[in-house]
Parts: sequence; C-alpha cells; structure tokens
Amino acid sequence: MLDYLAGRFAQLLIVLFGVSVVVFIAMHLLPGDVATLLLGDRATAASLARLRHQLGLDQPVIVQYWRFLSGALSGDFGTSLRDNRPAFGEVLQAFPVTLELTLSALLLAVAIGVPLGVAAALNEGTWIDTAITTPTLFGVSMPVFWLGLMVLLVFSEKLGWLPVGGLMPIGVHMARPTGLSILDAVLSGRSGLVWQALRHLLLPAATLATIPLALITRITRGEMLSSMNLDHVRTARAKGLPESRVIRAHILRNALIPIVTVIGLQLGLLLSGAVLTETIFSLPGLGRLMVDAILARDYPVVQAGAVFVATVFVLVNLGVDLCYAVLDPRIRRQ
Amino acid sequence: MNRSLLSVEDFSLSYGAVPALHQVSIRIARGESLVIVGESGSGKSSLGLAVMRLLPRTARMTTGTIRFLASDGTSHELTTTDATILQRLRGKEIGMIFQEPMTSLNPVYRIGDQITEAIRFHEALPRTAARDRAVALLAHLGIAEPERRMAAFPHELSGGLRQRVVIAIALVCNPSLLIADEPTTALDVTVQAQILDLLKRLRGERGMALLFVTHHLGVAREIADRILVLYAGRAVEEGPAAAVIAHPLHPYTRALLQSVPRLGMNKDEMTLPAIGGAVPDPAQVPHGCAFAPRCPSFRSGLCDAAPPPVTTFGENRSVRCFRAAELAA
Ligand SMILES: Nc1ncnc2c1ncn2[C@@H]1O[C@H](COP(=O)(O)OP(=O)(O)O)[C@@H](O)[C@H]1O
Ligand SMILES: [Mg+2]
Repeated sequence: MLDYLAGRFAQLLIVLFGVSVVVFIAMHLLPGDVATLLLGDRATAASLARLRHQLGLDQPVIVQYWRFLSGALSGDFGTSLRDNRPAFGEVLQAFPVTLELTLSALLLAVAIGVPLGVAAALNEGTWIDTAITTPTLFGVSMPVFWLGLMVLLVFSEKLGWLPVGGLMPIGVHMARPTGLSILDAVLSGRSGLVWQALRHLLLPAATLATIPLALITRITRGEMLSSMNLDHVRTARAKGLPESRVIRAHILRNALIPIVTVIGLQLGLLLSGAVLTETIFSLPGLGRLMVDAILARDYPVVQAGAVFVATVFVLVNLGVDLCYAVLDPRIRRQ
Repeated sequence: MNRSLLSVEDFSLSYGAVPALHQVSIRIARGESLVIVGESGSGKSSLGLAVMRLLPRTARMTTGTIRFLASDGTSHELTTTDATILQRLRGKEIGMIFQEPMTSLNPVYRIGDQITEAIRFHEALPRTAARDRAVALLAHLGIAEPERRMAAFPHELSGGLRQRVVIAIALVCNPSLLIADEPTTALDVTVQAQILDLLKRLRGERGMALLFVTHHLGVAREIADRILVLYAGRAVEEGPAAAVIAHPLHPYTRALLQSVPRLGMNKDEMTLPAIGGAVPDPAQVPHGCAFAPRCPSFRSGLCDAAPPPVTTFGENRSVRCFRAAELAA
C-alpha cells in the first residue's frame, strides 16, 4: 500500500512537470503578449520594452521556465500580471465555485443515472428500456453550450422561474468562508440564502450533468446486463434470496466496480469541462478564470491553474483507484 | 397418491425453437439418489436448473410438471408456484451445487458471508449462531482452519476449496434434496474423489435425497441408487444403478459403459470409441430413435421409422429401444 502511494506520488510529479512544460510552451507560442495587452495599441516601444523587462519576459524562455519552476517548487507561482495578486490565490479562490458546480452536477447524474440504468436493465427490451435509453443517445452528444443557452432561454427568460446566472442575486452579500456557496449560505444561518444558492446552482448543474447522466445511465444498464448473467447470480437465486436482494447485493454491487470508474473519469472531465457552463451562467469559477487569463496572456495564473487542475485530476484518479480497492477485493492485494 | 419427494412428469423444454428435453420423467424418493448420465449437451443441466426454476429466460417449458414435496407435507408444482414459495424452497429445502466452482461464488464477498446469507433469509437465527453453524459445516467438509477461511475471498481459495464452499452454501440449511450438476468435473482427480466421498458421507448422515448429474458412468457408479441415462434430451434407460451397470439394456448405455473413462479424465478425452459420432444437433434429432445414426444395433425400417416406446423390464427398469428385449436375450 505504501509502495503504491509512493508510486502514485511519483506519477503525480511527472504529470505536473509535463503539464507545466506544455502549458509554458503553449503560452509562449500564442501570438500577442501581456505587455501589448496591458499597455494598449498606442504604447511606445520603449514603454513596452520596460514592462517586458519588469515582468521578465525579455529573458530566454528556458530561463523564464526555470524561474517559474523554482518558484513553484517553493509554492510561489508568481503574481497575476493583471492585478498583482498572487496567482495561486486567485486559483484557490475560484476553485470552490467549480468544485461545487461539478460535484452538484455529478451528484445529479449519479442519483438519477444509476437508478435509470438499473430500471432499463431490469426491463430490457420493453418500452421502459426504450424510453430510458433513447434520450441517452442524444444526451451523450449534447452540445453543452447550446443546451445551456436553451435552458436559460426557457427557464429564466420565458418562464422567469430561475435566475439568469451568478451565485447570488445582485446586491445580496454573503460572507464566503468556504467559497462553496451552498455551504456558506448554510453557515450564514439565513435560510433565504440557502434557497437562493440552490436556485442559482440548479440550471448550471443540470446543464453540466446532461452528458455524465446519459453516460452513467448507459454504463449502468450495460454493466447490470452483463452482471446479471454471471454464474454467481444463479448461486444467489439458488439460495432462495428475495429478488430485490439478488439485484442489489449480487448484480448491482458487482456492476458498481466499472460504474465507479466512469463516475471518477467524469469527475475529472467535469472539473476541466465546466468552462463553458461557467461562462454561460456567469459563474466566477476556475474555468472562467483560466479563459480570462489565457486571453490576457496572464502566464502566472494560467500556469498556477493548469498545475492545480492537473493535481486535482491525478488525486481524483487516485481516489477512484482506492474506491476500486474497497469495491473489489481481488485488487486489494496488488 | 404420489409421495415422491420430487417427481418430474413428461417434462419438455426448448431454447427458443430448439428442443432440449423431450418428455422426461424422473422420480426421487426421500433419501434416494438418482444420477442422470449423458454426454455433454444431452440436457442434464437443463433438467437440474428446471427443478430450481433457474433456467435462462430463453428457455420455454412446453409440456409437463415438476412436483416437490416440502417438509411440511405440502406439495408444490415448481414450474408454476409463485415466487415467494419458490424462494422459501430454494436453498432451504432444495440445495444446488453448480458445475463451475471458479465462477459460482461472488468475487466481492467473503465466503463466510456467502454461506450465512442463506441462513439469514431462511431462519431466524442470531448472527453468531449462523456463523458458528457455517464454521462447523466448513470443518465438517474437511476445510482446515475454517475460522480463518470464513474471512477469505473466493479468489484466495483453490478450486477444490471453492467447490467445498459451494457445497457448504447448498447444505447450510439442511435441504431434503440436493441437486449437484457435475460438481467434480472442473476439479483435478484427487479432489474429485474427495468431493465424491464427501457427498456420499453427507447423504448417509443427513438422509438427503440427491439428484446428481454427470457425464461420467464411473462417477455414477460411486454414488447412485438409480441411474437415468439421457440422450439428446430423452430418457433412454432407467433402473437401479447396479443392474444398469451390470446389464445395460440400451445400446447407448452399453457404449457409455465400454468407454467409461477413468475417474479424472476430462471431458475432451471422453469419447465413445465403441460407436463414434456425436450427440445430434438438438435442432435435427432424427425422426425415429435419436440414437439410431450412431447405434451399432441399428435396424433400418425399424429404428428410423418412429420414436421407440418405453419398454419396462421387471419392476423398476425401463428402456426406450425397439430391440431391447431381443438384445438383452
Ligand atoms: N442458454 C441456452 N440457450 C440455448 N441453448 C441452450 C442453452 N443452454 C443449453 N442449451 C442447449 O440445450 C441442450 C442441453 O444443454 P445442457 O442442459 O446444458 O446439457 P448438458 O448439461 O447435458 O451438457 C444443448 O443442446 C445446449 O446447446
Ligand atoms: Mg451441463
């Protein structure tokens, strides 16, 4: 187990190194630089050069990378080129918004997808199966951007049931000790705020949940169907167990192993894929922060964000592996 | 009145349009052991699974009944009885051992939990008592360190041990009928003999009836009171084990006997050197006697004209062969 964790840690370091190199190179290949963007078109060559020197942008790329790396190793990712605040601090501030959105979306997808998949499998070939499986075909290939705009149009613009975006109504202020708006609302002790936080989260979370919901439904159905025909299920029935027990403890329980992998993969993808949703619903999350930073050529923030996302990604995968070990005794040993 | 523990009457079964069992009847008295013998594909497993109503969904019963006499004296028609009654009988009154010890256990649960699971659902027994019973049973089945094995997962056990666990699951509620579908086929020779001895001993101790399925007359000889020979889904011969083995009446039984494999040969090694050929494709069983194309005593115009009727010999032997009387003489 310790060996395993050490191996995973080494893997994390390699991934982080790779990510930082790739992001660094990509950022320097992009046309335009922060100096021009900061000073505007009419800046003089001299002032541009001075700013570049200040920011260290006149150094060779390899030197810049070295400075970044040595800083990062001591936990210092530099300051944002736009507002001089610590780059990593900006990332940490934006992350809870993304995390909350992602977890809510995944929770929705799992809470609805797994039961739907089970129902489809238990009713294989009937109209129930068709009614569940057909929409998932569209679901997996749903363009999130379009869907987000459509739900906004319907539920916010036309019906006026739900807010257009943001975390809270304009003008409402709330202390944000955790950055997770539902939790903060609960901590504030004002039930009205909890209600508002939920209302603001619903559309973006539902939009982001569409693809994983469709995927989880399909995977659950497929895994249930293959798990149903395993010999040990027959043994379970031969014991005289009630059918509900057979389904839960001997079919679904075994199907969960691959389902959990998909859920884990989705979590990773959602964390990085929340960009579009955050943009549509004006949520100040990590995705939005990164997009803005890239557009502004704000290298330190982009670097800090990329390293952070990669770390989370690797940790999520590690978590999935640990879940595996809990769910499947056969791999506990390895 | 029919007081057999299990009586299957006139039972026919198809997978889709392909017939697998054709008007098979069997009877097992309390404590009796009946061994079904036949080559692979003859329908043995289908028969065992039909009794438990565990056939795959594609299976269609076309004729017949399966009656079981429960320990409280009530009689149940297993093909139609409702699911809750079936659940009460399965595991409690009828236990089943499956052919594949490697896949018959759930890989994600400890074997102790898999054994006590049946007790939990059939008997109001405290957890510790159920556990004690499982440990005692494992010890009785010849498993060393049963306490420690209770905590093992199936993948940590050898094939022989797993099969003992499967047997423990089938026996833990003391069923009056045990169905064993080739319980030793997947095991190596020494373990085969051990498991067979074990089943014999248990039957003696518990007075349990046995429906034992094998492709192996050598195994049948070890454990049977009576033998029923199945060929292409048809019962071709039935009688007391000793009599069937000493004086087979059907040419197929005779061929099986001549090719009795040594205990421990695997399926692929077992052929019928005396006759050759293979069990017919169930979709294309010949119109007359199903065995006719391979039969050394085949007579044209007789054996291929119509299905042979059942001929009885003495009190308790029967055979489905036109020439049985003539050949027995
Ligand atoms: N699930 C199934 N679907 C279709 N055909 C089957 C199925 N199970 C068994 N059969 C067919 O039924 C016949 C009897 O099979 P089986 O009962 O397994 O025989 P045995 O146990 O004697 O080898 C064979 O021809 C086999 O191909
Ligand atoms: Mg079989």
